Amino acid sequence: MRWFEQFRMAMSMLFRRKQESAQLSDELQFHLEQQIAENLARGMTPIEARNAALRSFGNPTLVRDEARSTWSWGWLEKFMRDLRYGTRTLLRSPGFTLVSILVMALGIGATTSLFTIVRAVLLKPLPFVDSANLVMVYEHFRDPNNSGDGFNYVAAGDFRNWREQTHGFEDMAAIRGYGYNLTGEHSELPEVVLAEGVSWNLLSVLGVQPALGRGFTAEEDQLEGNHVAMLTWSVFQRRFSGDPSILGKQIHLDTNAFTVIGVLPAGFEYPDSRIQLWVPYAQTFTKQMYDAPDMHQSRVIARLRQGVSAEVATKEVSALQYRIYQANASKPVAEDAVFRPLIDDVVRDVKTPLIVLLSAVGCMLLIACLNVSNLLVARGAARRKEVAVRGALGGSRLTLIREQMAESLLICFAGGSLGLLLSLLATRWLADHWTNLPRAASVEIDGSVLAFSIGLVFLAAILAGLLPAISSTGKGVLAALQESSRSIGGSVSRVSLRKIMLAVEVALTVVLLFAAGCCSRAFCICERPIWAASPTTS
Amino acid sequence: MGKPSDLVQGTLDLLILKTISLEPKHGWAIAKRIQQISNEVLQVQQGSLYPALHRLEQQGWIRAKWSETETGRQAKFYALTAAGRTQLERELESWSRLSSAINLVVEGA
Repeated sequence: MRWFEQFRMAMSMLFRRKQESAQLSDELQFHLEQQIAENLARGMTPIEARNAALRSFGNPTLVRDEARSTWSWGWLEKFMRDLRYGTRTLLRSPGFTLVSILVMALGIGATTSLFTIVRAVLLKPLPFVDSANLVMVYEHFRDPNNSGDGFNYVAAGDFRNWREQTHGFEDMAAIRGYGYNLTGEHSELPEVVLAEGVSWNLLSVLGVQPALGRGFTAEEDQLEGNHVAMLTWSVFQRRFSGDPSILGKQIHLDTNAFTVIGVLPAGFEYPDSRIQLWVPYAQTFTKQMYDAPDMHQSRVIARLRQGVSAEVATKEVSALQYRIYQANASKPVAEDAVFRPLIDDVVRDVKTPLIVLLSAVGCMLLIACLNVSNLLVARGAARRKEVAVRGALGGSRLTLIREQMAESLLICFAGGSLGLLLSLLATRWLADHWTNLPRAASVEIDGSVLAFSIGLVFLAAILAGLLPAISSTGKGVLAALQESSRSIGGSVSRVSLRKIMLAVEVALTVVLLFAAGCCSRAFCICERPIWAASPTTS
Repeated sequence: MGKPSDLVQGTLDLLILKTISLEPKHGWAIAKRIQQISNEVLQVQQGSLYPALHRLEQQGWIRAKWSETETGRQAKFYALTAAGRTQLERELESWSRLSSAINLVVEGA
């Protein structure tokens, strides 16, 4: 029951604070009236009675304050008051406020944008079951002049041998890019579509279920198998207006009839968002190519077997590959097999530039904080007398610091809100215009990004506000009072503080410039066409 | 004249709880009552009475209600809650333990 009383009081103190305050005054007034009445009854004149009562009552404001100090939510009241004062002082110098808010908006906005992208691209797990257990397996040429980046596409013949003769992986699937002219049954307007030849077990390797219909069977994944196709959700919606009756009907790919047997789930785009449909892997090959160990055109994705590491499994594949190499010594067949985790494979081109960019915007945020900090210190010098007077009148240092922190918090909060708006636009733009950004579709601002930017606001507020607040409320109140009547400039220590901050700012700017240089270089590399980056892929 | 600081620390809460245990009273009546019962020895100052009352109210020991006095004026009457009654018993017990212990020391020495 007691907690209920306490809860009731806490709520009443929170929501009916004004009334409670008025009631407290009334309560004390009642006490005073009773005292006056008693004094009158003792035979004093009204004026005497009132004076005597006031004397015995003591300082009514103090009593009031002490009673109020026992109320709950006192901290909230103080905080709100600090915010109110902070708003007022900030509004008195709109130029300073505007500049600081804009600086913070840029810093926080840029950091939030980059964090959103980094989170979506590098940190979020891939949308597959146990995606940490998926690896890509590549062929590897020992001759360094012929090995490109060391990860070569796999020949169909090799993949089939791997899958049949090694058992280190739970399963292996292969994919191969392909293109078609898509028309309907009745020769509707044709369009060029990118398709992917996928081995029949790909869905089970990835752990994905089709949204409609079924996946390919092993019988269909043959050179002479039935012509079947799976649609991605986007082409199903766009070209076939989401009508499930398309299942079992035929579409024409390069004038061959393919039966639609299934539709992939919404948002599932594999290997990337440009792929419109899937066909059986084998049907994208001729007989000769399907068996060849030297037509490096496929990528292989493998799921780890429980208890078998990727290294061990790949070693087995590699040993087999070496036997294939020896059997076909005259052809360009790779000697080894290598692997890399799926997530690394997806983000390999953008990982470094993203991390460099994130560090760069982090630097930018730090510079923004230092800038605002510097402005606050300069302002603190101008407000020195005010602070000194308030200190002399009994304002505790903590109160003064808290108030200045409230100002910096307000600046950062306004800047953060504006920055979040900017970042909404910037992130979308960046995701749309950053060519070859993998997983661009999963870039979105959600709860955790919001939490991140709120965290940034508080961090920035502390970074920008604490130093000026501490320096401007320091010792030497008396000195400030005496000095401020004579001199204009700040004290020596304040000047040196600003010099140090300036030096740190310049240092950070140099780091930022350097990072920008690295960044544009990294960008140039990943903007280069793939064939230029790895000239010996095929 | 006894100042509030002369009161043994923590006994003001006990005095207030005890005073309103029979019937709800407003602040003035509580102060008067303590003064009367103690033969004018204990003078509770407003500066400690009202903060104490508000603290006890926040803690849920007592509950305040506005009602009319005999003279027809609205005043804030404090009454014990059920939890407050238990608390009063606890404090009474610890007080009697403390005071008898002090007595033992003072008289035995």
